[in-house]
Amino acid sequence: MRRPVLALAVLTLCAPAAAAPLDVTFTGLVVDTCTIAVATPGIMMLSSDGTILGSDQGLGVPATVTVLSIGSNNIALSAPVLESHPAGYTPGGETVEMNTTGLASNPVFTSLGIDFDIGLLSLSNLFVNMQVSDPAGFVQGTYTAKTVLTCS
Amino acid sequence: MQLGPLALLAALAAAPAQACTIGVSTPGILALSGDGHTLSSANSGGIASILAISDLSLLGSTTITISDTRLDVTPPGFAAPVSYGATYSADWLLGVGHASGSLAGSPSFTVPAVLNLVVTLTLHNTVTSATGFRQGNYTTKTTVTCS
Amino acid sequence: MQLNLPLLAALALLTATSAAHAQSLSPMRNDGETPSMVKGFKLYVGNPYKGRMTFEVIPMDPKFEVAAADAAVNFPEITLAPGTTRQVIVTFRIDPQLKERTIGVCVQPKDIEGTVMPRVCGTYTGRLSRPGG
Repeated sequence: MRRPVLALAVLTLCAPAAAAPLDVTFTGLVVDTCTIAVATPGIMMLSSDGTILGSDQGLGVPATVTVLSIGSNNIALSAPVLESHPAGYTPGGETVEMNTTGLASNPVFTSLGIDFDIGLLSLSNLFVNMQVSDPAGFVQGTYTAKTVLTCS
Repeated sequence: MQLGPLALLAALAAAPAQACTIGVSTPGILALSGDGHTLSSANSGGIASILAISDLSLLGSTTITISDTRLDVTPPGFAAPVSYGATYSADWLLGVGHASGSLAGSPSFTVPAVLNLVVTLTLHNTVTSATGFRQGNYTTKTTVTCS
Repeated sequence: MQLNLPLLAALALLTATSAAHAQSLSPMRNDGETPSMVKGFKLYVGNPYKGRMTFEVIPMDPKFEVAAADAAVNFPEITLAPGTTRQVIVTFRIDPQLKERTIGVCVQPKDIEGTVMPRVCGTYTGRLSRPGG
């Protein structure tokens, strides 16, 4: 029988050696995500001396913004402005300011914008207080102050 | 399969000396978890890597070692410390032979010398970062060695 | 429109199940080449609120200050049911002299009450691919 001879020949020809190791590759793509929602719109109320309209006065309510972030993003709040006022009110002497607590702590009222970076963030709350001060006081009517919160 | 003995000898002589052939039948895909903390082929949307190991030595058993799970490509600026978790599951001889476990500590398993043996190896890679992952492409690598 | 606290629970549920699509705007960054002078990107806009909301999708400059010229969105205003996502396509023209242009796209709710106007903005860059490869 020829087969056993053949097997022997095979053995001498092929010297087994360890195979070159193989690298197995996994690939993945991460996409930045930013989800923001205004859970509670802010409501401003008049102070007892009538010169401050603010969300931390009396029955006022701060705005609550929920933020969820994956990757690295930036939150920017624009300088707050008085967007609308009743007909009898003369703008020009007012100061519009805001502060933030919760996700980012800027407790001192400022009329400038607020900017901060965020990384991975599970659902978190940012509280924004808004106030409009005018030593001359406010006439009756509806006032709207606004800041634009941008996640980018 | 009928082969003339001389032809068989020639074929074997021409083949490179090696202990096995590893073919990747399914490349692995990593997906980000809902909370953004782990990038894994075991997450929803991820796919495990499946390899077929064949042409194993007939002279004795072969040891297959899986080692060095690492992050290979990351987007610029990513420097967060990460930890790795990975699992493997190997089957041969229609499931009669089986090995599985975690990839911690470079595990290895041995398969017998059987003609036309094919080992199916399923690999999962997981990378965990407490601070999350920046936007961009990520690649992990795991090394599989036959000896 | 009044939004109350149970929204937070709904949001948590929505975000826990979603991995592939963002709830507000996704992807937030992208870049690519175009053989023509117009570059387009597919974006996904989602509604994380508890009720139906109308969103404005506005192409802007990369600093998100002014609206961008020579740029358009196929659905500049979309109304979404809660928890749903829809694809929009933004296209913009690239000056052949500059060969590259970056625009921003902002998604903001239309007519939202209160002191905070939220918007999610992404940055997208288009490049002219050289003719002949």
